[in-house]
Order: sequence, then C-alpha cells, then structure tokens
Amino acid sequence: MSDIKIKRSIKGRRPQFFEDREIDRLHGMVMAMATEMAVLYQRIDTMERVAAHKGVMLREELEGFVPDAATEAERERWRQKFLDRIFYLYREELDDRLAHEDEAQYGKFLDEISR
Amino acid sequence: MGEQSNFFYAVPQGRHGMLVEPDRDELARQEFIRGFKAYIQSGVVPGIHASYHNEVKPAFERREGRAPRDRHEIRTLMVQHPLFRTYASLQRVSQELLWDTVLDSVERELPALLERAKTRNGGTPQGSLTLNPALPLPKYAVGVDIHCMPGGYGGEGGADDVTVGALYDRGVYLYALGMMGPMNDDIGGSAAKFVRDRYPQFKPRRILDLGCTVGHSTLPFVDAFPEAEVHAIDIGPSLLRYAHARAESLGKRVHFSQQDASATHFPDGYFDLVVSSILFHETSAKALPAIIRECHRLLSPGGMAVHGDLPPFWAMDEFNQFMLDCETYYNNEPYWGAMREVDQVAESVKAGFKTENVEFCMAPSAYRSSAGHARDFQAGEFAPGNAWQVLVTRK
Repeated sequence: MSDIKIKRSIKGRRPQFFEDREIDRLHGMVMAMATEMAVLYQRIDTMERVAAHKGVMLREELEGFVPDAATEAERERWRQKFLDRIFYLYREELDDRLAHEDEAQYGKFLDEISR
Repeated sequence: MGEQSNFFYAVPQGRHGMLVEPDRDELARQEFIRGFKAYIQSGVVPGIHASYHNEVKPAFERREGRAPRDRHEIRTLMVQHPLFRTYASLQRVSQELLWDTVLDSVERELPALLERAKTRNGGTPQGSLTLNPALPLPKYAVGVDIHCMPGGYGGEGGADDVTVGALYDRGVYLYALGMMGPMNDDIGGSAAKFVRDRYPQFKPRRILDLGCTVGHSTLPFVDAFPEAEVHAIDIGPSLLRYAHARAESLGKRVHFSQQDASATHFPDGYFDLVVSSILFHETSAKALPAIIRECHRLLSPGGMAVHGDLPPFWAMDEFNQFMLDCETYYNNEPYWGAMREVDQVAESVKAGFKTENVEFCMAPSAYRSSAGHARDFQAGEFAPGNAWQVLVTRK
C-alpha cells in the first residue's frame, strides 16, 4: 500500500558503557525481556479483570485452586526442565569439567584432526 | 533527591486525529518503558548522588586537596563508577526501547495514518502547509539522530510520509513521562500564559514558532491569542505534514512551512511575537546566534521573542550539571551541554537587542500548576520542574 520505509536504527555511534561491550548488550536484552514480561503480566491481569466484569471471579478461583499430586509432579518436571534450559551453559561447562576438557585440549584435538 | 513527591501518575496522552493508538501489547510495552524511565530516576539516580557525595568526591578531595573543578572533571571520575555505568547504560537502553516500541504502533497503523493525514479527518482545512524540498537541512539537525530517535527530525521515508511526526508525538509524551501534560504542550502553554500575564496589553498580530516539530507548543499560542495569525516552521517535511494534519484535526489554524530558523523567508518586522520551545539545545554554536539575529530581524518594533528551554547550567550545582550533561554523551544531544554555557543575554545584545530588554524569566508551568503537582526539576530526566526557564528579548 505504501512505499514508506521506516528506519529502526539510530544514526550516531552508540556509546560503550562497560569495558566489555557484551555487558552493554546484555543490559539491552534483559530489559527487552523484562518489557515482554510486563506485557504478559498485563495480559493476565486484563484477563482476570475482564472475567470479573463478566461475573467470573477468575482471580479468586485461581487463588483458591489447589493442584493435585499429579499436577504438582508435572509442574515440578516443567520447572526443572525450564531451569535446565536457562542454565544450559553451566551444564555444558560441567560436562567439560567432568570430562577434564579444557580449551588447550580442544586445540590439540583440532590440530590432530586438521593436519 | 529521589523525593517521593516526584512520583507522578501520568495522565493518558490526549487523543487527536493523527495520534497513533497503540494496541494492547504495544501499550503495555510503552507504559512499562515509561515506568522504567521513572524508576531509573527514583530507584537508581539517588544511589548515584550518594556515591558521588559520600565516596567519589571525598576520595578525590583527600587525594587532591580540592573539590572537583567542574562537570567535566566530575565526569572523568564518575565514568569509572560501576553504578554510574549501569545508570547510563540503562538510561540509553530505555531510550532505545522507547522509540522502538512506538515504531511498532506507527508501522502497524501506517496505511491508516497516511490516509488520515491526506484527508485531515475530513475537516475543513484552516491553516496551510508549505514544503520546500530544496531547503538544505542543517548539519546539527541531521548529523546524528537527536535523542536517539530513529530517522531523526529531517527523515523522510517517501512521498506523503508523516511517520517522523507520529513517532515524535507519541515518543516525546513517554520521554517526558507525561509531565508536559496530555497534549505535550506545557512549554508553549506556560510561555503563552507567561506572556499574557506579564504583558496584558500586548496583542500580537502575527506569531511565529521556530522549530515547531509537530506543533505541540505552537497550538497554545493559537488559544492564547485567537486574533493572531500563527506561523510555525521546522526543517523536516514528514514532521511538518504531521504537524499540519494534527493541528487541523484539533481545529487550530496554523500556517506551517519548511524553513531554517536562522534564515527564514519572512520580511523584516513581520512578527510581533517569535517563540521557540526546547529548540536552542538542539541547534549549534553557529546556529544559535544566527537564530537570535533572525529573531531581531523578524520582530516589529515593540515585539518580543520568548524562548523556552531546560535550565542553564548556572542555575544548578556542578554535580547536577554533570548529570544533565549525560544527554550530551549518551543521548545524541551534541549541543545539550555547550548550549547551557552560552551567554544568551550577551548573544541577544550582539544581535541588536538592548541590554535592558533582555532577561531570563521563570514561566510557571501551566500544566503542573493546573494539575496541582508540584515537583523539583531533576537532572537526568526530561521533565519540567515547577517552571520553565524562558529567555525574553524585546525589540
């Protein structure tokens, strides 16, 4: 419909705040994710309020909800898997450590394979 | 610092025919980012003040036997401080996220927005729009994207584009934490009220607003002086198309044109009142004196110019100067700091105004006094205190 190009990047070099630019990037990522969390929170809050207007006391019902043992177990599996995903780097490092792998060893292996 | 009185529930932005309407998720993002900016002020900034006054400054004094000389020296100390780095980084991130999330709304609404601009909501046109594609855009306005707004003031994505104005209108409301009022018009509104209160006999026939952007601060002059012919200029075509459509949708008669404030096409003595709002700090060392000279040329005998901006440096201590100056380094505001050191009174006298006709005044915030929210100006945020500093020059 229109040929108008919307520009997303900012002209002017971005300042660096930390010695390690990755920390600057992490700040951006963490806050972008926090923003999305706020969006989700607001959606749920809206759902509860809209439901209340319709006479469905979702919030009270949710507060009063008592999960049975099977549900609890399922949730705990979900939580552990979720944590595992977040801590995947630690898991990999742990595997390396258990295998007594370090960067030098990888270099040696690289030489061995590539020559 | 960080007084609780600074907490302020922002009123929703005032609607009009051109304003983008964020959808549910966009609104949640925008409100979160506005809240994030407010939180940086109340939750992070007080810690920086404390670190400076309790650690950094005393350590410097022990070492050097004197206090830090000026804002520049404070800066060399503070950029080493981890909390300051975090603050500056978060501030920058909040600014980037702000524009980006508003762009989502602009992009989604683009076809409808263009249509609304073309039809001006079906109203009878009252003002006018004159573009000049041959106008060279001043380097200070387009060399970097000022306050990190993607595309900058001069940007134009194509024929009939109004996206720069749409982005600016919504973005500035969030940037100012809503503290410039629902119509983002507190600088113009306060300046107009100031002129009327202080000079009740003054009846300007023609008014010119310099660097009007989307006309936020232009429109209060239409209301304050209904008999006057109101003109407004800026350099960006997209911005001006939006400004025109916005004014029309609000039923305000303004003549917008694409001109450089330092060399306009208006005849000598054409205006009784020339105004600008937060324009000076977005110009340059060369342009500012030229703009003041142009005001002198444009004013009729007995006319006056009123320029509103955030406080100059002499109105605050060195540490607050340093905090305010962060905009210069981190928010693409290259003239922000330097402008606050310019002797505007001397420049006005050089431009031809008599010394006794040049003064700095405080124009009480029209919005804040009407809303009953008193607060102090806080360096580090773009929001007024209880008054705007205005430079008044009378011819």
